[in-house]
Amino acid sequence: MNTIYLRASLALYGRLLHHAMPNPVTDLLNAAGGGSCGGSTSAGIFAPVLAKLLPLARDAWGFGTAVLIVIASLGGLYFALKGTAGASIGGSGMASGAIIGMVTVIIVVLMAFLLLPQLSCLLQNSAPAAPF
Amino acid sequence: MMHASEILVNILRGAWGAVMGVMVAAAVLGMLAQLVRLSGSAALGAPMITARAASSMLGMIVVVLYAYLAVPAIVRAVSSSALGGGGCGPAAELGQAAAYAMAAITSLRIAKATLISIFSAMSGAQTGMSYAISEAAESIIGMLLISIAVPVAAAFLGAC
Repeated sequence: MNTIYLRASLALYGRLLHHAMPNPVTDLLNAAGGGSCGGSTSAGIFAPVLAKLLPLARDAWGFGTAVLIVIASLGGLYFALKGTAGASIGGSGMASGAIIGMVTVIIVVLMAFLLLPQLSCLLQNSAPAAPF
Repeated sequence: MMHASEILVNILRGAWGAVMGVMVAAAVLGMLAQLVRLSGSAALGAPMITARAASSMLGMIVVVLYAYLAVPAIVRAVSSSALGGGGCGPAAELGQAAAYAMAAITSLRIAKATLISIFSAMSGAQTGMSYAISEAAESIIGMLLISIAVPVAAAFLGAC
């Protein structure tokens, strides 16, 4: 079970990381020329400063998602071990707790991969113009 | 005078756009950091840290909504009341240009305070939002006081 979980989770996270997951900070970086979100940041003379700051943020985003994947994989593996042990000794509470924990971890990871990019697009598109 | 004020306000307008861009990036990265914390605590089975991380995420969304919705409304309301100040002749023009520039500086100060509060919410600190609100109140009171000072000074000097 653990081997199956490990292979499946690595395949899923790898696919999400390399193909499906948009990078909202990259979108923000491209937003000066109209990124995939369609927002635009008119920074005026401060545009070069933003151009230096946002690549750092993009790198931080990549690092954060990689750390999230590692933590979620380890957490899922832990729950798989716990569920296996619970099932083998007949501990139904332990097994159900492990299943619930694994579902929680999957929901959290899906939040990072699906909710955050959409939220970022929403924020970029609704950024207020200068009120003066 | 108005021309000089226009140049200053254009620079501040660019700064506003830059602050908003950095704010979005900071909010997204902060939420990602809280999600990492949340997933770690969920994996370890620590409900208190999970709840704290989730509430930090919600707090960050509230701060961003405050910056997006409340700050422009506050600045528009205050600047519309301050721009109609008294005075006459060159003093009135000077006061109007000063109020125009002050509105820009005030909104930037509030945006900066909100950005700082997002950074503090990112690390799970509690004081960020109160700092942003007190900074906004301080800026507004200062702006209103200065907009009163120009007509008073003009009347004192006998300009009107």
